[in-house]
Parts: sequence; structure tokens; C-alpha cells
Amino acid sequence: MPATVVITETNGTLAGQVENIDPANINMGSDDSPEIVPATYPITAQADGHAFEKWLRVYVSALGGSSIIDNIKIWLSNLGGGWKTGEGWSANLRESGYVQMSYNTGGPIETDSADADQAMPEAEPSGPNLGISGSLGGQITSSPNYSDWCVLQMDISNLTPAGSVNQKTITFQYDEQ
Amino acid sequence: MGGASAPLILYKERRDMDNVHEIIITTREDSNNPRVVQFRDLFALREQITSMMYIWNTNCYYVDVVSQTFIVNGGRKIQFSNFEACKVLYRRRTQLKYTTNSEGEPETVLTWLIGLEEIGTKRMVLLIVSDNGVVWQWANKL
Repeated sequence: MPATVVITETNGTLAGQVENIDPANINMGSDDSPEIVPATYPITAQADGHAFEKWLRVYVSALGGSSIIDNIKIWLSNLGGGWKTGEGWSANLRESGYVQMSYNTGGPIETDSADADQAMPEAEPSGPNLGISGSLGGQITSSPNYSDWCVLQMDISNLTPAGSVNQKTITFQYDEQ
Repeated sequence: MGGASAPLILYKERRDMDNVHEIIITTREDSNNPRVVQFRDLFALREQITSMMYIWNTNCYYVDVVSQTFIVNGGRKIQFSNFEACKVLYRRRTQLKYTTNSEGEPETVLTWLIGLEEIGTKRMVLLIVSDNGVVWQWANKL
């Protein structure tokens, strides 16, 4: 039986944080909440504009017949019709120089994220780019358990045209042994 | 990895008459009755496997887990630079694909990987099975 693994999104302040297990989507917008409807929470075009950060984790609720979960990779696997002017995604995902994030006291922000300071990968990384217990070589060997935090943020500019951006696909990949 | 009785287990993927993939696997199980399993079931047998043979059209790749040998087409042995310590690798790989600006559930894509990796180097022989078919390749370690 495969392990039971889903993504979680956490919102709110550190003291009042709320975890949403297995959100239906990871839509970006101008509100710190899961499963955003973009039309309801659009991002205003502006210089150095940003959506609220997404604080996500890979959550293993049961190992099933597996003994190890590891090798987590996260990337944009499909850009749809490509980027609009001034549009981009940032993340804390790195294949070297990895730093484990801690959930911020104030929770996710919609100003330029100091945690998501890397360009979001647009191709499958050659190695893991999200750690477990602070290490890219880390492994989950018991359940329930989590990966480290994955911090994502959508960035726009004052030149980003009005209307919807192109749909993109975010892939979360992990291995079971 | 001591020797043991080894019933035959077959996995077959026949896509058309000109492109046949077949994986023949032996295990330590007590039963001597050959049986057919799906590749996803191999995960549960990963500690039991004693040999694997992959046949693709006229090519044959054979891994003997017990003696730690890998043979191509019945003769040419893959030359590991350090063949003292190899182990068989099994992994079930899952991709959760989320589409933005969407209210739909994420798509789940499964891949099964089975291979012989060489301890102390970055290379391995890897069999990848997915909905797209079967690929056998030299690869960097996962």
C-alpha cells in the first residue's frame, strides 16, 4: 500500500496559524487563505507587487508499506502560455546552500518575501530542492511527519497587464522506498 | 542475499507486435508456481527479489541480485568501476501536479523505478516504468 502523502498549506500568524491539509489548489492572490478564487482576490499591478506567500509542507500521514520518503523536488512543470510582462514566481527551493525556514511570527506576507528569495525552478531539478529536518538528504521514516517549509510567492510589476495570467502547473515529487 | 527457491514472476507489457517488453523476476517466496503480477506489486516484494531479467525486443538485460552481476544480451557484462558492493534499488515515485487558477483536484502521476546501483559512485542502471512505457537506462543515482 502506498504512503499517504498530501500537501498542506498554513495561514495566519504563528500563534493563530491554521493548517489546511490537502488543499484543492495552490492559487495565488491578495489574501492569506487556502484555495483562493483569483477573481475574488486579484493582485493589483504595481511596482514590486506580490501575492501573499504560500507556506506549504509535504505531509506524510501514513507510510503504508514504505519505510522512507525522500528526494522531494518542486518545480513549475508547465508555464501554460508563458509569463506575462513583469510576472514571476519566487521560492526558497534550492539544490545547494539550502536553508530550513521557520514559520514567521506574523505569518505569510504580501510584500517582497525574504524567505522566497530564489527564482522558482522551471524544470525538474537534478536533485532534491526541499529538505527534510533541515537537510536536502533528509528522510521521513515515521508518520505522521512533515517536510521542511516550502515558501512560494508570485511577483508582478506595474507593467503586468490586467486580466488572468496563464495557468501553470506546480509539480511536487517525492520517492518512496 | 543467499540463494533460495525462486518461482518465476512475470510482468508483460505488449504494446504492439514489434515492440515487446517483458520483465522476468525471481523471488525467495516458497511457492514454486509462476504467477503474473503488476509492476506496482513489486514494491511489496522488494526485499524478496533474487534476479531480474528485462527483455526489450531482441535485447536482454539480466541482473542477478545474489551474485551482483548485470549482463547485457547474454554476454557483455556492464563494467562497474567498483563492483564490490552493489544493491538493488526500488522506488515508487509520485508527482502531485497542481494547476493554478483552477479549482480542480491535483493530478497524481505514479512511476516505478527499479535499478542496480553501485555504491561509491554516482551511476546506476535504472528501469523506469510509467504510463508512458518502459525505459531502461544508465542514470545518475537518485
